Amino acid sequence: MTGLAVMTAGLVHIYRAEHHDVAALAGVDLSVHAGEMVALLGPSGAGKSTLLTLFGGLLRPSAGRIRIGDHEISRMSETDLDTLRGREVGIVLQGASRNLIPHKTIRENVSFAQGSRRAKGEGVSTDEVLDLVRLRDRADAPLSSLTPGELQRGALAVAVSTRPGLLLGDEPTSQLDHDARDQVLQTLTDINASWGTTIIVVTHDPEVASRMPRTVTIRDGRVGAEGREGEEFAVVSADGSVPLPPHVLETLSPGTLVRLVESEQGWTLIRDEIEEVSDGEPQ
Amino acid sequence: MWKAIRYRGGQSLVLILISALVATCAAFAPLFSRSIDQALLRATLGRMEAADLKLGVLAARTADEGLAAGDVEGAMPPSLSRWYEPGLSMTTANTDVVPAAGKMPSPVRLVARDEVCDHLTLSSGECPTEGTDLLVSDADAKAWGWKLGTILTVRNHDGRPVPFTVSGVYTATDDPDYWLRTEVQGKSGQLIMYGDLVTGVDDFIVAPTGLAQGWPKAQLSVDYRLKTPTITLDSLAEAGTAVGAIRPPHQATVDSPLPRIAEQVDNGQALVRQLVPLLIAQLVAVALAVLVLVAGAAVAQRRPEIAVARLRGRSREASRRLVMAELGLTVLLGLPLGVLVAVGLGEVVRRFILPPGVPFEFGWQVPLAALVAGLASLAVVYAAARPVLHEPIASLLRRVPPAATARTMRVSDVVLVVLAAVGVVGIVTGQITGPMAILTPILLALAAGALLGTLVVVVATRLGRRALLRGGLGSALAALALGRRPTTRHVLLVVTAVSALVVFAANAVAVADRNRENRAQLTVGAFAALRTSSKDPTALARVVDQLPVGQREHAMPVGIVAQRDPDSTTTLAARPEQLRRIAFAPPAQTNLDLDALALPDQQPVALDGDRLRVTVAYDLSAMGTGFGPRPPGFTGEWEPPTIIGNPLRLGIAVTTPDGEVLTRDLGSLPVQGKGSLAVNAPVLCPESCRLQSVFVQLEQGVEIDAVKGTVDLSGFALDGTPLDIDDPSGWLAPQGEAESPSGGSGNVPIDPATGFPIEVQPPPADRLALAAGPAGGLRLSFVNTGRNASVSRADAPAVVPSLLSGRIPSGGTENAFDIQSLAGRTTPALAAQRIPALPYVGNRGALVNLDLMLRIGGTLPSTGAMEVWIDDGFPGGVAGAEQALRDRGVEVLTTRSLAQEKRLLDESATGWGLLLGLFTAVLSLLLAAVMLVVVAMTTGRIVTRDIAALRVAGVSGRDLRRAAVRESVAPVVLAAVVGALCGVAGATLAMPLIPLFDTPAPVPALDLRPAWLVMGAAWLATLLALAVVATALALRAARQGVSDRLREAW
Repeated sequence: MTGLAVMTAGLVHIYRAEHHDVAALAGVDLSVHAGEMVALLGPSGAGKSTLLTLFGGLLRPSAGRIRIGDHEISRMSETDLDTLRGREVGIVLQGASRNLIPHKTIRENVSFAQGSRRAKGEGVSTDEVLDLVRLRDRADAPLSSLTPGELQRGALAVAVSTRPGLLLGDEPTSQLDHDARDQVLQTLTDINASWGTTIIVVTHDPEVASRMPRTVTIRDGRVGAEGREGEEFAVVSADGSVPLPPHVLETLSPGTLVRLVESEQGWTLIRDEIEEVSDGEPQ
Repeated sequence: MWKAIRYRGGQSLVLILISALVATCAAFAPLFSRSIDQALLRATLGRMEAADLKLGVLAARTADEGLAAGDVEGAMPPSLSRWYEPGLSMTTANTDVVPAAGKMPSPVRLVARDEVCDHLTLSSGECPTEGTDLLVSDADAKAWGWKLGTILTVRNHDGRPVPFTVSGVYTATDDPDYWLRTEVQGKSGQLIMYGDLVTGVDDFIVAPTGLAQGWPKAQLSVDYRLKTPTITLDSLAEAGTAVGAIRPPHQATVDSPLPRIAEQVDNGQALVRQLVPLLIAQLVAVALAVLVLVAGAAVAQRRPEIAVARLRGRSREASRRLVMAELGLTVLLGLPLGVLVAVGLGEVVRRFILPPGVPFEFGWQVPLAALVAGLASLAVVYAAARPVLHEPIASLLRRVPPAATARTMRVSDVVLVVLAAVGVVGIVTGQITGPMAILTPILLALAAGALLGTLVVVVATRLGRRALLRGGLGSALAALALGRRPTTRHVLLVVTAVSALVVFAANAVAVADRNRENRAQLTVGAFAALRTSSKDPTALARVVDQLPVGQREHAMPVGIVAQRDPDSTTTLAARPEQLRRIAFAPPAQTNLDLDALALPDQQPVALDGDRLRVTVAYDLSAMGTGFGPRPPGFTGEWEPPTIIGNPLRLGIAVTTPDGEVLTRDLGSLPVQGKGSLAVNAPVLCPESCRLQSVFVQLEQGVEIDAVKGTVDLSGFALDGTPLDIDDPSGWLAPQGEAESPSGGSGNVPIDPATGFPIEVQPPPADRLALAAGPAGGLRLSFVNTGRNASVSRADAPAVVPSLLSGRIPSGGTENAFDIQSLAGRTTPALAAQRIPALPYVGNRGALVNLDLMLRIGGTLPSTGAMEVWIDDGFPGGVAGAEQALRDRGVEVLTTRSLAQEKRLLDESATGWGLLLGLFTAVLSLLLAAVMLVVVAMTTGRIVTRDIAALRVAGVSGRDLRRAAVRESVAPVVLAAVVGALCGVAGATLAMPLIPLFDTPAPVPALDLRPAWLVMGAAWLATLLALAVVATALALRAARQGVSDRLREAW
C-alpha cells in the first residue's frame, strides 16, 4: 500500500453542545498528496482533532466532501468505513493507552489489529511492524513495564500494523520527553519513508511542526495558513477569501482597505493610506 | 481470553460470583423442592406406625373351605418384595369357650400367626405344635386356673365341640412391628356383652394346623410390612401402582395406605411447588438486578477496548463477539460454582434441617435450572453490552462516557410501578390469592426504589446547590455527587428491594412460627398432656392433688369426653384456676371468663352412712273426679275412686361415685289427708353417695288427676348425725318436669251421658315450690300429676355453665344445649361465654369445671379420657411427670408435648418453604453488599479523581471524607427506610394470603400481627451491614483520592 491522498472540499462539521449548535469546522478545503507528511496546527478548539476524526471516518461531516484515496468517505457505509480503517487508514489517538488493549502485549496488540489479514498471510508481518517502530525487543513485555515513549511507539505500531496508506495521529508526542518525542518523530519519518504512508498529525508542539515538511494551521474551523519548509503562507479559500495570520490582523484591523499590486514577485498587499474624516466618511 | 479475564481479576471474580449466585438460586430451587418433598414423605412415614403402613390382604374361607393363609400369600406378585417385607400370615377363627364350670360361654378367638412363638414369652409349657394344642394368656391362666394339659373345648361353626389342650401359657412381648395391632391380650377380665354380660377371654394361640380343617368361617390375612427406607417419591408412585394392580385371589380384599400417603405428600408438594419458586424468584430478581449493574460496569470498563477494536476495523458484530466471549465465559464460569454451592446448601438443609432419611438427589432439573440461569445471565450481559456496542466510535472514544439522563423515569421504572400497582390492586380486590402474594413486597419495593431513584437525583441536586450556597461543603458535595452518579439509582433500587425482602421474610418466618406455636399450643393444650389409662376422674384428680409440693402446682387433671361424631362438641373438664395457670390460652382469646365456671358455694352432702332419718309431715288432697264439689253441668256419677295404698312417692336421688343416679324411697304418702311419719330408710351406698335431690311423684295408674298439698321435711340425720340440709338456701329452685306449664295427667273427666270430655275447668298443672317449714326444715308445696318433681341440692347447678368454643351443639340454644358429662351422660349446659377455641378441643368444645363434674360423678365412657396436663415448670419435664404418675400407679398411655407437636408442624411444606424466605433474605443482603462493592469498583476511578481534584482545589480532607461517606451511606439509609416501609406494607397486604399450614388450622383465628421486634431487628441488621460496607468503601475512596489519580496511568 502506498500513500493515500486526502482531499476535502467545503467541509463543515456542526455538533450540539449545551443546547447550542457549534460549528467545529466551517468550510475546510484541504488537499494532502499521497505520501506527504502534514502537521495540523492551531489553537485549542480550532477544529484540528475534529478534522482528523473526520478523516478517519469516526464522525460524519455535516456538509462537504472528504476523499481518501479513491474513497469518498462521507458517503461510505459503516461497514465500508470499518474496512477502510482496518486496511487503509491507521489512527493514533491522543494518549498511548487509548490505542492499546491493556492486557495484551505490544505484539498481541499488533496481531489483534492485523486481524484476519494476518491469518490470511496478507499485509506485513508483525515482526516487520515491530522492527519499523524499533520495539521488537520489548514486544512481549507487559504494557505496564514500558516507558511512555515505547508505549507511544507501540500505539504507532498498532496503527500501522496493516501498512495503511494514511496514518492519522492526534498529538502523538504529547506528554513525552524530548528523547521519546524524537524517537516517535523518527518512527513517523521511517514509516513515511519505508512505506510511503501519508501522515497527518495534529500537534501543538512547534518542534514537531518544524520537523514536518508541511503544516496546515486550522483557525476558527477553517484552513488559516500553511507552512512549507518553515515558511508560512496564507491560503486562498474556495470562496476567494484569504484568512490573515493573527499578527497581520493586529496591523490590519477589520475594515482596513488594502490594495493588491501585481509585481514580478507576484501579488503584494499594500495598505491604502487614505485619511479618514471625522465622521468616518472617506474624503 | 483468560488473560483478559485475569487482567480485571476483581471484576471478573465479582461477575463470576454474581453469576454463581444466580445459578445457585436457580439450581437450589429444584434441589430444595425435591428435598422437601422427600422430607414430607419421610415425615409422613415417620409419624405412622408399622401397623398403619402395612399392606393388608384379607380373605375368608367362605369360597374355599381349604383355603390357607399361605395360598393368599403365594398368589401375591413377587415384585412386592422390593418394598415390603415377607408376608406375615395369620388365620383366626371366632368361637367361644366356657372358661369355668357354671360360667356362661365367653367369646374367644383362635389365632394362628407366623412366627408367633418368637414374639411371646412362655411362662410355662411350649409352643403348640399339634393341631389340638393351644396357648392361653397368663391373665386367663390366673383368672380361670387353667394349667398345662387343661382341656378347653370350643365350638366349631356348626356348634360341634372341638377340644384343645393347653400346651403353654404366654405373655405377648411388646413388638408393635410384629403384632401390627393384633391385640391377643387385654380382654381377659373385661366385662363384655355376649348376649349377656360375660367376662372376656384373651386369644388362644394355636398351631396353623389347628385351624387347617373344619373352620370354614376362618379369616385369613397376610400383612406385608413396608420397608420404609425403600420408599422414596419415585418408589412411592411405583409401589402404589404395583399395589393398585394387585388382583387378589379368593375374593380377598387389599388395604394399602399408600394412596393416602401419596395424597398427603401431594398436598404438601403442591404448596412447595408454589412457595419455593416464588421465594427463589425474588432472590433471582435481585441477583439479576445486581448482575445488570455488574455487567453494565464490566461493559463500561471495556469501552476503550471496544473503541480500539472498532478503530482497527472490527465491525460492531465482531466487537460484540469479542466482548461477549470474554464476559460470557466469565459468566459461564460461575455456573458450575453456583451448582456446587447449591448442592452444598442442599446438603446443609438435608443434613441439618430436614428429617433423617432424605436421600441426596441430583435430578435433571438441577442442570436444567443452572442452564436457564446461565442463559439468563448471558442475556443480561448481552443486554448490558448492546447499547455500548451500538454507540458510534466517536462516542466510545470519549474518556468520560456520556451520562444517561437521570432526571426522568425510564421505561423499566414505569413497568415496575405499573406491576406493583397491579399487584396491590389485585390483592386488595381479591384477584390475587395464595402464594402469589409473596411477590407483593418485592414488587412494591422495586417500584418504590425506581421512584425513589428518580426523586433522589432531582432532590439531591437541588439540596446540594442550596448546601453549597450555605457553605455546607461536605453535604453539598455529597448531594451533588448523588445527583450526578448514574449508580445512585442502582443502589437505591437494590437496597430498597433487599430491605423489603429482609423485613418481609423476617416477619413471615416469625409470624408463621408464632402461628405454628399457637397451633401446637392449641393442639396439645399445655406444655405436655399425658393421657392416662384411668377411667376414674375422681381417682386421677386425687392422684394429681396428692403429688408433692413442687410438682402438683405444675400439673392439672383434665377430663375429656368426645362423642362419636367428630363434629360434635367435646367436653373438656378442668379446674378454672389450674387451666388459667397451666394451659395455653387459645390464640386471640385473652379474656376467658373462667369465673363463670366457679363451683357453687354449697358443699355436697355425702351420704356415707347406712340409714337416713327424716321426719315427714304432710297435708295433701287429691284432685279429679269425685274430689271436691261437683262441677256445674256434670251429670255423671261424682264419687271418688278407690285408691289402694299410698300412691305418692317421696324419695331422694343420689349419685354414686361412678356417676350413676339412683333413687332411694323415703316413704309413700296418701293423697288425701294430713299426717306425719318418721322415716328411717337405708341409704344403700357402700362407697358413699352424694345427695342430689328430693322428689315427690304420684304413681302411675292412680285414678286421680293430681295430688296437691305440702310435705314438710325436717330432722335429716345420717346414722344419727344431723345433716345440715334444712335450710332452703342450700337447695336449688325446683327444676325439671315440674316446671311444665302444660302439666296434667290427661285424666280429663268424660261426661258418661254424652261421652264428651267435660271442659268446665282446666286440667291441673304440675307445680313445685320450696320454702322453709313452719317448724323448721323444708316445706315442699306442690301439685303433682305423676311427673317427676324434684328439688336439687345447690352444690351442683341444674344446668352446667360452660365456655363454648365454636358453634352451638345441634338442637340447642346458647342457654340450653346438651353436653356429655364425664360419665358420658347427656347433661344440660349453657354457654357462659362463646369463644373461638379451647385448648386441645379447638373449636368444638365445651369447657366445664372438673370439680363440678366430679360432684356429679361418673366413670369415663369409652370415648372419654383422663389426662394430666403439666406446664414447663414440672420437675424433670415430661419424663418426670410420666414417672411421677407411674410411681402412683397411673399408667400413661400416650404423651402429647408442645415440642413434639411444634416439630410436627415445623416439618411441613409450609414450615420448610417459609424458612426459605430467610435464606432468600440473607442471600439478598449478601447481594446488596456485593453490589455496593461493585459500585465502588466501577465508580472508584471517577470518584477518586473527583476527590483528588477537590483536594487539589483546597477542600480539606475532613470535608472530603465526610462528603464521601455521606454520598455512599445516604442512599443506603434512605433506601433501607423505604424498603422497610415496603416490607411492612407487603406484610400487611400479603400475610393473610400466604398459607401458613399445609392443612387448614382448626381454628381460623390466625395471629397475623406483624412481628415488629423481629422486623426491626432484621432491618437494623441489614442497615448496619450495608452502612458499614458503604462507609468502609467511601473511606477507602477518600484515602485513594490523591493528586496522583489525576494522571493517566495504567
